[in-house]
Amino acid sequence: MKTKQESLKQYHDCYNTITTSLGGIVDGKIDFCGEDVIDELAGNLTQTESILLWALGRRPTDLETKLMDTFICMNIYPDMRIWSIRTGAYAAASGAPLSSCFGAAHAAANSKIFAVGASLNCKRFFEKFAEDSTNRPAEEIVEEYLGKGLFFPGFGRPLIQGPDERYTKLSELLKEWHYPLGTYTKLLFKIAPLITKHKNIHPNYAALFVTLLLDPPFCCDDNKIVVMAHYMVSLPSYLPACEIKEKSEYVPLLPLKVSDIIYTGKAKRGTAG
Amino acid sequence: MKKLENKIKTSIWCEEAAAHNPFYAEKSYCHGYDFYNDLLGNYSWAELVFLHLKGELPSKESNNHFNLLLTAVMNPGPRDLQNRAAMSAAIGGCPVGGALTAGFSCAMGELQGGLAVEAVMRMLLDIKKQADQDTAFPFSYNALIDRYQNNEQIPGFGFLYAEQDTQAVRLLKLLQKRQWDGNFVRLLVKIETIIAEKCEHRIRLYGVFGASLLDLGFSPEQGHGLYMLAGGASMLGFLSERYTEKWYEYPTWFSDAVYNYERKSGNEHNKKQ
Repeated sequence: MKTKQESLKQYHDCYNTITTSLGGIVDGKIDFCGEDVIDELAGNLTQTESILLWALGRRPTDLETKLMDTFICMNIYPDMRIWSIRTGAYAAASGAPLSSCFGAAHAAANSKIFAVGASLNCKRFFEKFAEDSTNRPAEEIVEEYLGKGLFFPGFGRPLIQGPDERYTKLSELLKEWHYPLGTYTKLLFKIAPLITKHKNIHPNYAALFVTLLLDPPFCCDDNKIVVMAHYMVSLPSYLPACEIKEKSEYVPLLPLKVSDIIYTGKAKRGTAG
Repeated sequence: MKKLENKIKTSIWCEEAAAHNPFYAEKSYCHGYDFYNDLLGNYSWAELVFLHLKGELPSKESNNHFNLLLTAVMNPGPRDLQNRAAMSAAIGGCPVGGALTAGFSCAMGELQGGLAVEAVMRMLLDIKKQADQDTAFPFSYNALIDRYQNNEQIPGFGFLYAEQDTQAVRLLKLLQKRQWDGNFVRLLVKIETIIAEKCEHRIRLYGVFGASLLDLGFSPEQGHGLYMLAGGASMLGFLSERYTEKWYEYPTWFSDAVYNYERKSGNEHNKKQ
């Protein structure tokens, strides 16, 4: 913990100063991660490649870009019943500006059971599992977790039973591409059948998404790459909000009847006055 | 190039820095009042909201009037989209701030949210300005109102779940009974009598709220924000309840019977390109 003097020094040091290695408008040029956006990136790099330039600190290989593009494509999930997407749709149905609808969906995506929060839970789980299994067989750890009744993030889906078709397809693509698997992804492929056998839950897309991001070349030891990647891949799913905005007559979205609310509070009563 | 300012101008808040630490404020004044020594503990939250926005503490009468308005719009109920957006975010375990952000995105909507309040306030100011400038006597509002009617829905008018908005009627009655129905509320009522000849639309609650805020001297932008702030407490209440539930205890609408997907075939879509 900082002392009063250290804390004050930090305020003085940062006064009127922004320090970043990301980029900015410098000498009249737009620079991003050490490259000139107009002269070097525009026309040469896609959006995915530009984001990966930040994530990796270098220009990505074709395979790395293909993986991220596949993440984006596979995560198109434009069903308005999904919580975050529904939230964006509610905002659209309320007549909020489209940017705010996306903002609403993004805000709701910081959830524990789906989207970003689920991925971060999954990341923590695999980091812990890898640590626990350093000197012990993975099978033993699975048994131990099962015995303790622990939750397995990255396994099962809230609304759909059976294998996750996105997990299956991405696994096939990784094989087809001869994608070099790292420790975390190998660990996932090792423990997945065990967990499915004992708990009858299948690994989900988030598990593969996160383990691939934990492994080289991404090696995301902090959360920012998972969060950034998740937001990137989620954007196309928010398009239903655009469709609702096009219906300028404000068709009610999933209206509820009064009887759809179950009241569990206190009985009717009067005020003292 | 314009001279770029590097200091923030405000007439709301003044701080006195400590001699030993230029970042630490020893005293803070809100519109001239010592905030932590004179205001804190002596005035309510609503009174200090009034002070922040208007620059003066409200009279007892204005404070009661202001509180009535904020209370009138504080809870549109759990079926309202702003509360449902917040609840959808919270049920997934999204942090409270994210769930409130999601709800507030809906609360700004132009259907019956902040933008709608702002629109009705702008309309009333516009009509009053034009009426003040018109030298003809007797003045006819009809032509002015016709202009707004071209937009199909006049700001501040419409239905509540396809019925007359009785919440608006109740607020109007209270304002009239307490003689808080100023020029703008009376103008709103006058518009209703004029449009009643042409359509069924009646005054909405948010319309009365906006008109009455104009009577208290608030701006349309402030009305927009006050509407959202006023609804924040009930939003927090509804979303807080969700943290005590499992995700499946809140409706998901995840049934094929609910979803009406009018699918376009890929080929059909491509043909349009």
